[in-house]
Amino acid sequence: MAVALISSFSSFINPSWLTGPIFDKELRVSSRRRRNYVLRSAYLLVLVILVAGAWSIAFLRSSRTSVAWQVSRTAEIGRSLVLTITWFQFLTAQILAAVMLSNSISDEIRRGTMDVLMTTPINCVQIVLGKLFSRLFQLMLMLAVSLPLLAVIRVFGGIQWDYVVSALSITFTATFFVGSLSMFLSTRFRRSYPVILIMTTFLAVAYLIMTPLFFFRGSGSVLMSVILHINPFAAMRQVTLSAFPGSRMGTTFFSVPLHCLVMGGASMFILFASAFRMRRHALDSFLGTNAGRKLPIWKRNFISSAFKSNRSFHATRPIRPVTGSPIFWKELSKPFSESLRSNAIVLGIFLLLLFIFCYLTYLFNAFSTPTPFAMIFYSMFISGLWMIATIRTAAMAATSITKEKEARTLPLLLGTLLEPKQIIHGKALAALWRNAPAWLILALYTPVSYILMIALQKTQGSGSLDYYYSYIIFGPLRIVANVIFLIGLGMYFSTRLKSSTAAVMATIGSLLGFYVIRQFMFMFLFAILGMMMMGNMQVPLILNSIVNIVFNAAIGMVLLRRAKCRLRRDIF
Amino acid sequence: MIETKRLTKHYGNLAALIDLDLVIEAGDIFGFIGPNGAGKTTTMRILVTLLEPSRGQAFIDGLDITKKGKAVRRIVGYMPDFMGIYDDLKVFEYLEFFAAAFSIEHKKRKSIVEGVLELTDLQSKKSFTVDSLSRGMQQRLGLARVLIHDPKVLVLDEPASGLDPRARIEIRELLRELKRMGKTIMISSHILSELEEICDHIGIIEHGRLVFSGTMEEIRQRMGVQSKVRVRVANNQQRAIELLSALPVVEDVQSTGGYIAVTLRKDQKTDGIIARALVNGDIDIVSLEPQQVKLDEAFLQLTKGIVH
Repeated sequence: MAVALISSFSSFINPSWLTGPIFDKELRVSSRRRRNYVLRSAYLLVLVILVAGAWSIAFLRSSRTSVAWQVSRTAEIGRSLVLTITWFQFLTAQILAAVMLSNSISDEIRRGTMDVLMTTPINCVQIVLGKLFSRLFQLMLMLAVSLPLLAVIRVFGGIQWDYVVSALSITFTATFFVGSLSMFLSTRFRRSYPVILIMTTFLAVAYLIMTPLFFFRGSGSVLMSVILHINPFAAMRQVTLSAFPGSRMGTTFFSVPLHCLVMGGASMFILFASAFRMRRHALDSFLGTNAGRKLPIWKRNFISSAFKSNRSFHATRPIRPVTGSPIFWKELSKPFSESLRSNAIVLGIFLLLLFIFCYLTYLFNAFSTPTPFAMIFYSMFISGLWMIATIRTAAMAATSITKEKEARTLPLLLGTLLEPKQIIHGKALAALWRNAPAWLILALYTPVSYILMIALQKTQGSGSLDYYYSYIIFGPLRIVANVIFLIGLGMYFSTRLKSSTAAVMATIGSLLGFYVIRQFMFMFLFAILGMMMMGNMQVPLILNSIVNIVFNAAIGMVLLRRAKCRLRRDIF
Repeated sequence: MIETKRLTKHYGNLAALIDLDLVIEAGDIFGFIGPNGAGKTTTMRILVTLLEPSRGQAFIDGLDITKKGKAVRRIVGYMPDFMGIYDDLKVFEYLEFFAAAFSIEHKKRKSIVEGVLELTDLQSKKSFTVDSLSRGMQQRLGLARVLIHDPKVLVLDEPASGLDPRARIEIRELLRELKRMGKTIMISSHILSELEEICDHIGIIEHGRLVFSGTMEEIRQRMGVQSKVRVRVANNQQRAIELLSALPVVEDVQSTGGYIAVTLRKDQKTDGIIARALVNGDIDIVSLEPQQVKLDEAFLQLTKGIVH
């Protein structure tokens, strides 16, 4: 008996049992996928650009030419580079983990291979761990690429090894946690797109909402200590602060190993929940619908009313005649009332979290100057809305053609008299239409805000207001150009790639890379032009707006054109 | 109606189609058979303008498929070997959507959709969501979709695959009805006995090359297959075998499981000779069944089972 127990326990903790054949299979398959190599190359490219940008900015700031002074600056430049790399890794690894695991279980269920797996001796825990570890392994390989770079830069000084080790540990556990959560959601949703959307929102909310607490003056509070141990963003910020000599860390208790332990524990809990959900799915599949489900009535009612399933909804609604462009009609096949219900819930949660965030910001007086609550809420609402609208628009455009490929309806569509131009335009218009309310608010917000700012500046008797005047026109134009760019980018990857996950991943990744590069270029130009204009920043700002509008609109249009040309290629 | 000239398609180094020359007459049902990976689906996809040929030409109703793609799509209805469905649409909406995609006027759409629903016997399902239909119903819906713009030519890639016997019979009847309506149908299937029943012409493709094209009668002639007759007698089976063996048209006689299997010499027909010989020999005949060569036998003999 004892021997049997020991044997079963030892097999349970055996790494090969934990991962099983799933791990092997996932690694084999992923090594054949071209997208993984593209991803690694893109990651390296962005990293190199970031490091070059950080280096240039740090170097440009040191305008003195004395050699002794330049040498003394190397430590500062070294620290700047290490911080750039570690923060880039921290953010990228989490986003990639969320995206890479967003379809891990749902794909198996959709293809019908989950039922086959369930008939083998492999159990749910092995499937979950095998899938998670295989993808995390690829991510870790990608992160490992920058380790030699970190080691070399460390020679410059200015940063301790403690920081590098702590930052990497926090990054790893945060990635583990986000990956687990994404996998859990993939047991709930049939497609990867909603998982990516939820995870991105979760990351933004979970991290941003904590920001005001950093300004909390009450050092050493238990609340702050708890937040540091449960929030990777807060933990990362804390270890970053420790990298600066003479920074006031306060007396708040924070231990990196404890933080990693908490995050690891939370991840394991989520993984077991994922395994449980998978088992329930298998029961549903084998014994009939809902056989494995034992939800209390109140919970069932709540879920069914809040997130009414598409199938039950579509079964009861009346037949709607096709009007106008058939593609546009089909894309909007979910009536406004239904999307309003789910959108209202999402918007309600968003506003509630935003309110909490703004209230904390106001309460802890996070801004350097006292700012009214309404002003904080207004500016934060706009930032949040911008982020959600950007991700939603890009993701919807990115999935517009891939979902036809996945449902195998693209050949049927291309067998009709519809031209590629009509299909692309219909889909692009639908992606815009679905997010039109958010973009309209944003387009109206800029002129109104800048008119108010001009009025405020005039009462205070400030200097040149050229930039504010120009932005009344440039603001809405920037929004239009940005939307064209987002839709163009999404549609291009949608025609180019086969799965929605790959298309969303490529679109969001390109978007992030593009924004990061653009920001660095802007900072670089700003530093040079600032020096040339002797501190007058109005001209660089106006120039930046014009370049942004022209560049975004032009690239967006080119990508839409490419999407049209590509639509009839690689249909099958 | 359909003609291909030296049609060739390469996927990288793999030749999926090699110099395919095919002619299908208007109003015919053409059965296209071959092993998996032989090039049937590739041919069909090229014909419906979803793939571009690497070389050669194809014409449908005189229209070059590479130059007049839109005009070809207007007269062709294609049903692929998979069922692509929009799971959030209802049956009526699904068909109306494709009617709109084929630029059918808004005011005519309803009556056209009702018409194809009636033809495919799906009227009672028009308010159902597409994904709630059974496999057989989905295949019918696929056929209804193909018919929505009243095409002259139907290209059907394995329309009966995965269907139960009843659904297969229903699809077969539907195809007969479509033939009566004057449609030219090109159909591929692995259920050869069914093709045999409905097709006027058969094309056998293997390894990207057309190994045979013609009627069933032409298949028999090409194969030089002897006709067989199965006889059951009520009495004196041994005497019956002796009588039959003595006939000049008979090549071989064998007794199998209560029956007498008679193999006739090449190009010989029974024409009552066997019956007359047995009756004259005072043998009571219970049954006498001429055995035709089956399509699956022809298929096995004409192909070597080579796949890509």
